[in-house]
Amino acid sequence: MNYPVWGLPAPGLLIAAVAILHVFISHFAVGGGLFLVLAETKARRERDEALLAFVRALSRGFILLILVLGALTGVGIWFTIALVQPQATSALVTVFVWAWAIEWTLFATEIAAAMVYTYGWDRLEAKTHLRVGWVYFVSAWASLAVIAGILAFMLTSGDWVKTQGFADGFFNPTYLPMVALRTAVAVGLAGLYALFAASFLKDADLKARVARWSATRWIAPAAVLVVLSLLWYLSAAAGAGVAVAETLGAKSASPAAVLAAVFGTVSAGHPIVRGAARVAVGGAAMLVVASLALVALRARRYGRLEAGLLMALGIVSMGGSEWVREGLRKPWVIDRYMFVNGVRVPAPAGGAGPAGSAADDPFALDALARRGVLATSPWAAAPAAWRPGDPAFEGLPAGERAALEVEAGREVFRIECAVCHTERGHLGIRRLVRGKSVAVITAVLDAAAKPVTADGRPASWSDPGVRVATWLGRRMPPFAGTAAEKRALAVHLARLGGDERAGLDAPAATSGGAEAFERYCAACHGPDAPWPITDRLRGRSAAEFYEMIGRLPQVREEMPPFSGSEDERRALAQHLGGLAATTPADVTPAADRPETEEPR
Amino acid sequence: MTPGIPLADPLPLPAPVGLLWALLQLTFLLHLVAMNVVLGGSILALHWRFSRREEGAVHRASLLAFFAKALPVAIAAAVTLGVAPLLFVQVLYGRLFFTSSILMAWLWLAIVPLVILAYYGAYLLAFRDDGPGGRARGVAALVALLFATVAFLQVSNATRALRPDTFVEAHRADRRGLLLNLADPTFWPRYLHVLLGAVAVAALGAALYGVLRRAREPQLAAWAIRRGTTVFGVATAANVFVGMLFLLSQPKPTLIRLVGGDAWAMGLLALGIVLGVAAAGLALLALGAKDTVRVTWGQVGLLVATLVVMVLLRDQVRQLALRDAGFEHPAWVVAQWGPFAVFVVLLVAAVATIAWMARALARGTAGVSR
Repeated sequence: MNYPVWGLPAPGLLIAAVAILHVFISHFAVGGGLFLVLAETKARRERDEALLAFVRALSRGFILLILVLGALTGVGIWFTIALVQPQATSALVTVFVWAWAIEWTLFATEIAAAMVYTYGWDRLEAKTHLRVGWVYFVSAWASLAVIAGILAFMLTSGDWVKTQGFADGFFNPTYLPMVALRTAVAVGLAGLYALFAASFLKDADLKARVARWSATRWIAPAAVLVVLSLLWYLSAAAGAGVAVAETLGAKSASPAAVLAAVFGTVSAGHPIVRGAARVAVGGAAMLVVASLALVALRARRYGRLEAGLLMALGIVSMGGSEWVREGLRKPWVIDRYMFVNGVRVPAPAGGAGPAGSAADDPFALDALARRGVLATSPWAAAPAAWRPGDPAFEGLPAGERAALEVEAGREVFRIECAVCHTERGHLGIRRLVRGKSVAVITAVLDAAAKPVTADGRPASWSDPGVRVATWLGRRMPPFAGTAAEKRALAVHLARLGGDERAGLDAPAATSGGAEAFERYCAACHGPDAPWPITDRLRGRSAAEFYEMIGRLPQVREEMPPFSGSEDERRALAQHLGGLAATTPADVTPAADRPETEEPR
Repeated sequence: MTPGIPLADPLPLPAPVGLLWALLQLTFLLHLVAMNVVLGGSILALHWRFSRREEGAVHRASLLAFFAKALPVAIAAAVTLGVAPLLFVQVLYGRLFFTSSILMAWLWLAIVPLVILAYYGAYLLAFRDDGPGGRARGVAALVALLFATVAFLQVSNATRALRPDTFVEAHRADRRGLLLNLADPTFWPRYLHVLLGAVAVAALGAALYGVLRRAREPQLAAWAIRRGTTVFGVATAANVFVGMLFLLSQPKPTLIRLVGGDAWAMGLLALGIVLGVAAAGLALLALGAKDTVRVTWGQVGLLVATLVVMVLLRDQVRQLALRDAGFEHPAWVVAQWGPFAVFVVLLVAAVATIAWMARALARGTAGVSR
């Protein structure tokens, strides 16, 4: 919102597309470098001319892939993140300019070595040629190790939020596990690349030798290392406050619980992230098994089709795992510093910086709640006549006022929500708000994200140890803006969801209980919500409901404690008791609803 | 401050502005040289591929074959050397650069696939060149067109970044990310200035190639020096003229400062013009000179000096424009000297390693590896 918003629907998908391609190639670049030098060493030691010729041909294809697609998709990521997440890119560049600069020296060395290695087959002594190969691998791996520091920082910023020190941010809790994990993936992909390249060979003996070597010495050991380093990574992330269990819908962050949640049918967690995790784990497992089976059964005869399918499995699995990493990070783009929509947490009192610098941050949550998103962002185009609180606006006929609210709400959505949500496509907002009233949407916006301590107690966003409790694990950032902006957004969304009268009606003349239900319960238990209340009444009395409302987290652990007043609790209990009395007690949950767990 | 300029992050700058500025100018200069060889070389090579002149046809073919082999290396250098100024420009001017990029988002992003396509085209010419005619002509034309398009888009972004006063209005007019900055009076003169400059640099590169090959292939060397010098002289002379148009197209406050209001900017401008005229003049004199080698080296010296002055002048134009827009760097600096020292050490190590590898490759003799 400090920067203009590019009108591309769900631009995060563009980052994902460019990044997945680049990550796939760049990991090849690292592992492939090691493969080339070790294969060349092996060929020279065993005087295996056929293998040497294969490595030579491999190196040529390698530079075409690395120098062109690898380097340019890397630049492509720079371009893309700057277009989609300029605020976060600016922060990362400012904090880590020397890390990027260091990475650049390694990148330059890597590119030069790749060329000298490929052009040097006939011009360099064998020893020098191998040395150049090692220069290539070491600089490529070191480049990975530098980028991993910045990527890991985005997930777990460590003590940086307190100190803003370079080393505190770079050597953060998930740094080493991420380097280990990415190294293991690179080694595995190198084996996969060799397996693919060997499929072009006509010499069946050589093909079988290369394929067996790739599968048994590269892919299989890498698979073991990937599993071990992944467990290390997830445990380090969970330890640093990343909502691993919540996002994946698991009871805990233990490997067994995570696997059970990913492949089980649970109602909680982020559905897309869980799907991505299935793709990542399932794809990787299939890849390893299929590679070993291919080598065991068809090492001399396999062709490009089989090898191409393995490559496709590799990129799909890699895409899934990158998606999970991004999903685990949300709602942050930079852990405990900035949300995905560019909103920052308020600076802690007495934080670093010259007087007033961070404290006056107009794009922090607290400042936006005071001044409003539309008034703060120069890129917002709110209708001039939308002036909440102004008698001229409040005195307008309901229809005109609502039309202005819809327009203002659309603008809030564009600036604050459109980085993730499209209207009808990816995370399509129409589908998510279908049939929801203004009150329900407001309740979801209120519940979207709350700052909590490690043990779940309420906290402040500027607390350095803050964690995020999100509504149903959906990993949304908190709403940023004034109450009037929240109302405008809710009216706009309710209209998108099909409520033609949203914003027109005065609050319905219903009992306080129905209002309380709309406000506190309907987001999850409304007629179109995942767990309709009519399926759960079971003939209970108002007194029973009153008692249950007092211990909601014990009824189901996903439910938050009731946050309304005593009067609202009574009214709500009466309302539910009345509903139960008029609803058959033996209602069977609809079969087409996946989430049908009953309250205990 | 102009309303369209985003606010600075509430974060300290990781180094004094002067250091980041110096690194930006230095790395941009290096990128500029490599980029000029790529862009100007592609245009010049295209011209030579379509040339029907009998005279020097053999040498032209030799030079084209060399250029086809060298182009992928030059592209790799241009891309690699482009990453560093991209980094430093984002630290210092990200608030303008990100905004101007978003206004032309799709077109800016298109640079990546365009360069990828051109790069593969260059490899096609390097690995499968079938001589100066035939299919190679089509590929060479495509490569030159792609690089000229990339330069076009770069100029659009660079000129927009200097006009933050147009940001908000432009964003309201089009949020799709398809805006080019063609209405800016500086656009076309600047683009033409870039193209002619690139051709001049590449032409002098051809002359330099002749100088370096003169012991082995004296006739080719003489031809390359003569043709290279001629094109260099003509392109530079034309560029002095286009440069004047570029100067006159500047917004009035910037123009006034350049021609008298600001001593440093005026000095750079005067020096740039003198160096350009001198380089063009020397090239014309060189056509009748006996010691063409020394004259070529003289031109290389003048060209390097001109490029340095032009990079600094370009920066001055930016600073003058941004001063009028009220742009200021944040005053809060917490220098990260430790990571900076690691960068310097690794930079030295990288330069030494690359030099060692390049020397080993240059000294290597065919067939030793097998």
